[in-house]
Amino acid sequence: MRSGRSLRAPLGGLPLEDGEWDVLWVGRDGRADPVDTTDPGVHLSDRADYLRRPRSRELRAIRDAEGRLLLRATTVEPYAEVDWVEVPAPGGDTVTVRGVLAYAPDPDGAGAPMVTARQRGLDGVLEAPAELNGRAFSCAVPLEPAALLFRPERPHNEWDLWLRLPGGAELRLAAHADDVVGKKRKVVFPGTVLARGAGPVRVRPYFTAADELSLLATAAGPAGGGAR
Amino acid sequence: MRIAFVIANAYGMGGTVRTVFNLAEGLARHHEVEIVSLTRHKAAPFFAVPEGVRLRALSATGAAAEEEGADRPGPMAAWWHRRARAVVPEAERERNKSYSPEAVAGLRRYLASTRADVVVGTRPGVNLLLSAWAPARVLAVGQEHINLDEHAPEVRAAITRRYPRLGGMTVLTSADRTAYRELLGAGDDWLEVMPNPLPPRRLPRSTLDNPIIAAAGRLSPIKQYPKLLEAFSSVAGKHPEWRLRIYGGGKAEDRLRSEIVRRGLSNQVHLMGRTKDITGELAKASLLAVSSRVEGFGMTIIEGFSVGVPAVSFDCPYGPREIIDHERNGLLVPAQDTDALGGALLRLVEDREARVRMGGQALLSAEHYALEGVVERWEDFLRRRLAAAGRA
Repeated sequence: MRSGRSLRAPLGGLPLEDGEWDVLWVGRDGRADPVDTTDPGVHLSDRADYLRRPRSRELRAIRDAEGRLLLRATTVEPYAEVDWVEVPAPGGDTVTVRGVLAYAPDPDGAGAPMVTARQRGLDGVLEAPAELNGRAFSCAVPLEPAALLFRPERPHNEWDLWLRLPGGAELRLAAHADDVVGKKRKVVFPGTVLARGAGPVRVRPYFTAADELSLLATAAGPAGGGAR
Repeated sequence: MRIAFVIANAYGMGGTVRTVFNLAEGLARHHEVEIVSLTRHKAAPFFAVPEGVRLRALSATGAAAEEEGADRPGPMAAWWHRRARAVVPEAERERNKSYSPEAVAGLRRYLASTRADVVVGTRPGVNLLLSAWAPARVLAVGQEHINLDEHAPEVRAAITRRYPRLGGMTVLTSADRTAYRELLGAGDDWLEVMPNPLPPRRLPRSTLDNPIIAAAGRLSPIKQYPKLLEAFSSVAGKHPEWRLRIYGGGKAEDRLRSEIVRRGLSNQVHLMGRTKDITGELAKASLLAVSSRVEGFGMTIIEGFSVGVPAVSFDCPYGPREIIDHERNGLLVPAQDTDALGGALLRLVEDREARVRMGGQALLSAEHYALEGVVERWEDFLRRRLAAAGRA
């Protein structure tokens, strides 16, 4: 349906494969023309609303560099959208994370929410209590266990973060809603040096190549400190 | 007309390359246009060569040279290199490494054989070489993308001595025109203000609703991004949902990363890196911030205007005050006054109505820089200069 400058099309039942789809306008004469758009393709408040509903497919209207309207279909799983990461104040040793549940049903199972960190490729697991307030979550991840369980034979010890909901479902902590892809280099978090175990270990939060939130533990040189 | 632009390295991604490509695109509609690159460091240029424009490189360096298996420079190239060193001051050769023996010998050969009516140089070293080597049958025009004040004393001295031999010259701002007029005693016909053009594109339009401030430009000291972080802090504290997205790459990135951490802005500042679709990215923002010490022109301000985003800028030399009409399409604050910059950003963050009003004016202001109009001004200028040289 076309009304004025806007175009509406119900796509709910359409079996769109993942990927970017050209949007064409087919006129009465059967001619198909690409649709141009002046829309920048990013509306952060709409995105926040869009996350609230359970979904297995994300549909987005985006604009390519030439101004054509595209439809992007992506298979999605529920995850925990990270709004804010609070790094430890000097002397502190917890990273606090706040955010909202994305594409997940409202939590209603029994049990207490927890944050879980799993040592990638190794067997370390650490857990801490999390809080849920409606669909908003917050959790404080203690860094000391990550330092204690540091395995120096692996120069990079990554700890992937998950939010466990009452009922047992686990959601990966990640940040997708702001549309910034590739946060690994775009966001910079400071590290905290913990003098535990065999030697000082630096731990800092970071976004993975998939924009998921993890902790990175590395051996800290004698100098310690530093942002990177 | 047959028009050639000589660029130090047309394969890179700088502002000069982008704006010369845009201008070439516009001129190519009615003229034969060629872009000549002193050197190239890779096979394909970063920006797409406009339709109908020919690109040629006079020499290759780095990986591009290895692919070609380039020979060592011959004795002739070495000889022309010595001649070029006498023309191009060391400060300019230090600033731009494109003046190799192969490149300058290539330029000399090119000038001797070109069928171009007009050859436009795009940086001081090239302009100086054109003033010395362009044959009389070619109109040599010097285009300056950098303000006179930014040139080293020895470059200024060379400009004073040699630029008067050029057939004409263009600068980006009225302020720079005044500076060159004083230096060279040049007449108004010879010396023209030519703003960088905005190419005709299907542009997006900012909704001015996203809580995003954008900044764009090389991560280098002249952009003073640490000052922007300081200014942004006053927004960040009061409005945690607002973000600062900085577009660009460069050597100052490490310093910036530690400043972001030091100011506790990890959640709110994103180092976006380089982008090929700057207008598409600016349209996602609601404000553009400029914290530069010097802004030779201010292309990103105009690009922001073209997608309806108002600008908040230091009133630094030279471009911002000629583009931004204070309180109409943006806000100018005293140069280096980071509190004032922060205050102005905060004001527009908190006043959507003012953003919308200024964004609307910004769109109108952008029309002044539309490629078509700028191309017509270039055509007029070149015709007048050709006529003045008795070659109309």
